[in-house]
Amino acid sequence: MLEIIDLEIKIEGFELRLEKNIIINSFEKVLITGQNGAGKSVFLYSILNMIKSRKGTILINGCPNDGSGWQKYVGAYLDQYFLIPHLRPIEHLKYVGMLKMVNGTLFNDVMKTAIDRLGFDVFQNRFIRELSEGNRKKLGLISSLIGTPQLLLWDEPFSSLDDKSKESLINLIKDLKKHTVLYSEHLSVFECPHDRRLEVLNGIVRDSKRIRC
Amino acid sequence: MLFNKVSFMLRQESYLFVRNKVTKIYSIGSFIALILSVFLLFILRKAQIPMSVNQDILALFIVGGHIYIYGVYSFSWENSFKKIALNNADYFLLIIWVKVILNFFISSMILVVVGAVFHYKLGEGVKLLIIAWGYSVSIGIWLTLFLTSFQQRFIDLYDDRFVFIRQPPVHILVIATNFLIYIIICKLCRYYSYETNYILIIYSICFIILIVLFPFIIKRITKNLKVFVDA
Repeated sequence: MLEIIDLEIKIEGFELRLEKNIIINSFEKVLITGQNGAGKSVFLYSILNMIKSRKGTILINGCPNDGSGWQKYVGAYLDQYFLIPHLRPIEHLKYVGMLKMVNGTLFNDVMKTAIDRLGFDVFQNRFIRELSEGNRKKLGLISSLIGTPQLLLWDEPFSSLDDKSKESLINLIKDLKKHTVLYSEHLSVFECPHDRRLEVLNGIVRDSKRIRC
Repeated sequence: MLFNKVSFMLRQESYLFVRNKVTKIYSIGSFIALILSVFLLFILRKAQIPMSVNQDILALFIVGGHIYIYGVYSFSWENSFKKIALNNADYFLLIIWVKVILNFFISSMILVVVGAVFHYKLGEGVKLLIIAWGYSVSIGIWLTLFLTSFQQRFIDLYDDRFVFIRQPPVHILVIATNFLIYIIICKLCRYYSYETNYILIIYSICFIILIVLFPFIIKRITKNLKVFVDA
């Protein structure tokens, strides 16, 4: 699903590299851990080719991430700028649906997930910029699910969520059987569902031993 | 499908103008500038004051003035859109065409309204506006989008912040280059006494140059539009 080969990033004194090449198989749930500023987000942005890497190759379903064609396999929510602030939640979801050419049943399924699993009212008459941080996060996570992408990238999906929503999200991640999920988090590794853990430490991304939850 | 996408995108652009403080102020500012330019050009033509370059520039401000500010800032305020599209080149093409189509409709609408006023009240001055319209919908918009794509500013749409108030050099370059090329075209038109045949020949040559450069322009804009996040 995802191959990261010889990746090396250097930005304004900050360096990030791999201990060894990383290959993530389909349907794996991968947790990325590390201290604040360790480079977890940088790592996720580099997968989306939104940070220029000095060298290395990233292949998503065999497509290099500096070309085109890989976008249809990926759903991502890394920061609030993945949301359009002056739209209402339903307008935003329709916009993402338009980009991913998704409507009808598939689109309704995502909306059902939003309401049932995360308890988010997608029809509320407020602009995204007026939503609370937690609700923005929920909307971002939901919009990344549109088009049932094979690879999901989330940056700290649990932050700003209340306990009930955290629990719902943990269950949702466990139930995403047809997706490969790559997410960073500060929570205890025992709380986060994952098959595998990547640790970012001192600018080096290393593959920790596999833990099955 | 493409039509649906373009109409959907046009609706999104209109949401932006209505719902965002920064874009709302820009729209009102552009409209006031447009009215002032119409008024000034009308006075100059009516009093037959021989300020040809000033009249040319006013005509460009009337029919195509909005494109400079719009072109200069529009790519900047679309960082969110580009992130959502995951830097997809197809999406970049879509937003470029939406802007070109939007500019065509706005410029044409202004030309019809202001041209009708000039024709009714003065009985002349319409040719000047048509030359400006021709420039705005062809070279003007493409040149503006092309140059703008080289320097994008981050605009915080969440906070409606005017972080772009400091004019970076590329923004000045966009306006200066447009004025220069447009004034050369106007000078040529004046040299040939505004004869329709010559105006058509001048614009045909410009159009051919644009078509030749088109693949390069598109390739470069889409390359420049990629979002790169500061770590």
